[in-house]
Amino acid sequence: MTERPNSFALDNRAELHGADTYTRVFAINKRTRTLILLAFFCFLIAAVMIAGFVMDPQAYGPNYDLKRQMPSLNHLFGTDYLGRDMLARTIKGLSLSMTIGLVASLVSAGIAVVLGIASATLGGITDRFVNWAVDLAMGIPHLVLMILISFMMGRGLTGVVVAVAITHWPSLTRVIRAEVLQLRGEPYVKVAQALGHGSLWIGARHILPHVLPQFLVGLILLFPHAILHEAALTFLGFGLPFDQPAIGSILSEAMKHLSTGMWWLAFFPGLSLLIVVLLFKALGENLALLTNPHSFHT
Amino acid sequence: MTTHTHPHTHQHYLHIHEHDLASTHHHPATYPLLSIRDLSVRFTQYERGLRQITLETVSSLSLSVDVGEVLAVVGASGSGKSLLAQAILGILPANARISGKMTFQGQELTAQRQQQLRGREIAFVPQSVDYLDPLMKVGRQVQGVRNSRQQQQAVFERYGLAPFVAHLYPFQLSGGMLRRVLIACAVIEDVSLIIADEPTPGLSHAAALEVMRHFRELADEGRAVLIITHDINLAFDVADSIAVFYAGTIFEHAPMADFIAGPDALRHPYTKALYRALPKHGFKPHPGTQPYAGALPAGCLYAKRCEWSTPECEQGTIEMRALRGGMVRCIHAL
Amino acid sequence: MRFNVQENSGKSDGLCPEESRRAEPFEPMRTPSPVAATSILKLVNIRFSYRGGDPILRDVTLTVTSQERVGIIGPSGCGKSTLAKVITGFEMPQEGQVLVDGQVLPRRGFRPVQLIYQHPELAVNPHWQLGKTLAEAGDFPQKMLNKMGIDPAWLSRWPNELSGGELQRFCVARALGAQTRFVVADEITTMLDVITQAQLWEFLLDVCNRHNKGLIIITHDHNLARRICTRISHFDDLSSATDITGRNATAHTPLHELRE
Repeated sequence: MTERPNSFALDNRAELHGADTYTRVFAINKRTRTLILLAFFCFLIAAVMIAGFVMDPQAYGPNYDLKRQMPSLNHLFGTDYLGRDMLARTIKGLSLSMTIGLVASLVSAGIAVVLGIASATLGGITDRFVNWAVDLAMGIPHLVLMILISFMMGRGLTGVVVAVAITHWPSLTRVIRAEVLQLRGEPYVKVAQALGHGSLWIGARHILPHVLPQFLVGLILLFPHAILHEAALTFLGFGLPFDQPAIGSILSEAMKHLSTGMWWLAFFPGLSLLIVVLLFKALGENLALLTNPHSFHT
Repeated sequence: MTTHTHPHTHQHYLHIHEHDLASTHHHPATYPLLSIRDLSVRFTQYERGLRQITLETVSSLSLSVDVGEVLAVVGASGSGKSLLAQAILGILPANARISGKMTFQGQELTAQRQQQLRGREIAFVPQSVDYLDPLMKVGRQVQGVRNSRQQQQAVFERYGLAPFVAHLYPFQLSGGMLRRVLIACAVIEDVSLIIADEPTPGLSHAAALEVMRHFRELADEGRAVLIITHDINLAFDVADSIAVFYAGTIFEHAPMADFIAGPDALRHPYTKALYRALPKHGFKPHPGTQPYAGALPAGCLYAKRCEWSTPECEQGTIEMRALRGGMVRCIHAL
Repeated sequence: MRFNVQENSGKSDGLCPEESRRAEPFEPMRTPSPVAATSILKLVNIRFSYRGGDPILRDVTLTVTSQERVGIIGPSGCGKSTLAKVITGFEMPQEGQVLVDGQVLPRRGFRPVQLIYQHPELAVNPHWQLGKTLAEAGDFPQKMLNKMGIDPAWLSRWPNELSGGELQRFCVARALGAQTRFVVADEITTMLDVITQAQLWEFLLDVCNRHNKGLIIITHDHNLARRICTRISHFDDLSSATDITGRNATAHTPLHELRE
């Protein structure tokens, strides 16, 4: 850039024009960069999920010839005491965890939308009840509540999904309620009412399109929570059975072998989990940035 | 409202533009306190999607203000007037780029100098009371970091704020009191230039006049005051001169007396139309609208609406020029 | 204080005569509505307070016919804007009624009393092109848009691309549907330059006169009120003065006097 921001130089239109052209042709603006980054994240996540689904069970099955191998070029993450390839198991595990996370986040976000909108539009006793429920759900430690629910549902896949799904709605409910309440107070919404438009018409045209970006961001930011909590539940033994290669069960199993010096059993799956969670967080935050028109203009 | 006598000379702002010719009798320096030449403010913005565009919201604006003078910059809301204040203070948003030349006390006003002078030499009275910290008592806010409690008490007394008010929070004060608090914040230091951006919203006419009188006093004590407002009536009451803001630039800078005298004394066709559109002077609606910052025509920004318009108006840059004791940006003005 | 500045002659007489003569006649709606019969807006003993607050409006009574242009003048913070919201059904009074031709304002459906806000940029959906905003209120013939000074190109613009004066034209047009009987204008030209102000009022007064719509003009500008109102109600403090509008506005100016 030839111009300093907010400083004075004698006006030089040619120079300024040059700077503009340069910006347009060579440099990629921040919004485009963010979009490219988002696409890359989505690609990574989708690749892991699909790879897990289409993977040949043989790939992560036992191979007794190759037990307890250190990470090597053939087995990047090493193998465990049954000779199972840890890379394949990690991918399969992540894929399963992400699927559970996806289902759970969708259900949670669905609950949040219904409760948030009902609370903001119906008001009165509904509003008080929803706020009370949000406070209640937030007041109980997450993990304790999830262990209880999962235990009640008989553990396993159903237990985990239900437990994670019905405990993650409160914060998004609050966000959506606040957003809808604010929109309902906007003069243009009031004018639409005065012009004779019904609640449904206004909801569909004025309110939903505004809430949608918030909802998407909230949904994506629920993901890392859901995945971590699923892993935690399984790790503690209240979630998926051990024969399912979910990240939680892999880590839990690896714990037993740490003392025998097989550090790679916990290290690589743990690191992968961390990376996936951070990826989702970055995805949500970048999307938030992109949907907020005031966030950046440079 | 029309019979105001202005004890201040209307000539002293002229040497601003002709400073190499004129040396004034009441001001030893040959430069004005603040002078702006060809100021432009451009914003880089996203259109829908990923394309960025550049909007020239303020274009080739020239203006000057001197000690003892109250200058009112008058124009419609949302036409970019506030950007003028922000540009002088150096507080424009990050996506703004400026060009042109500004001098303060004869020296160029660079970003670094703006930072040094803000609050010390150049004070800002904002439009919104949101500029006050809602969680800090107003006395503490007015005192700031550099001043003593005695100074704060003195400035409170000056603006008729009782001592106990210092211990109140902004939400406990009325609109009129908050305005006085904002002015107190600005003048607690001995500044030489005060920039007020719409200083009277939400006040009754009487209360607004009161605020304007405070600005008048501050100018009379030897400061320069630049008031940005949409309310031309308020300007009539206290200003020495009026600068007419239109689509991001200034068309005419004229002594107040010319606005009182009427359209014949005024220079620019837009200013004349403005005068005739006042409810008390005919309420005549001149057709057309101000052009949008993204679609400014070449040449004169007013040419499309102007009855004097000729082909020359629509090409080249129309320079601000001195005419009959004022400044005008029009090639046909006589 | 109260004064009748000009008698309602049914024509926008306050405005420049050449301008109105040059303008072609137009219909605001595609289906030319027969010039409606005179309507009467009545506020009966309105009492209003925001939740938990002191009453802002106390015992407010006001009668306006659709042939009048009533100015309500007072400083800000005295409850003028609240009054505007109550008249137009944006806020429900705790006591009293707003009646149009004897009918309570409908809670659902089109309200015959429309409000125009001071800040047009807040009154249009920022994510809608302006054509869509206008369509929300019905169909408007090109002629009407021309008369309002709405450039057809603006219909595909976004609100942040237009100035306040341009946006306010849309808000004014939007309020002038065929079913509108009264328009409440809450400081609608305060933030605009005086030329735009004169343009907007010329149009608004013209439509209201032609189509027999009543106007309630809330302003702090005495010169403006004197110029356009047939009747002016002054008040300084709605909440404490029990006689603000009531006695000012109804009793003192018999309607038949205005029509004569």
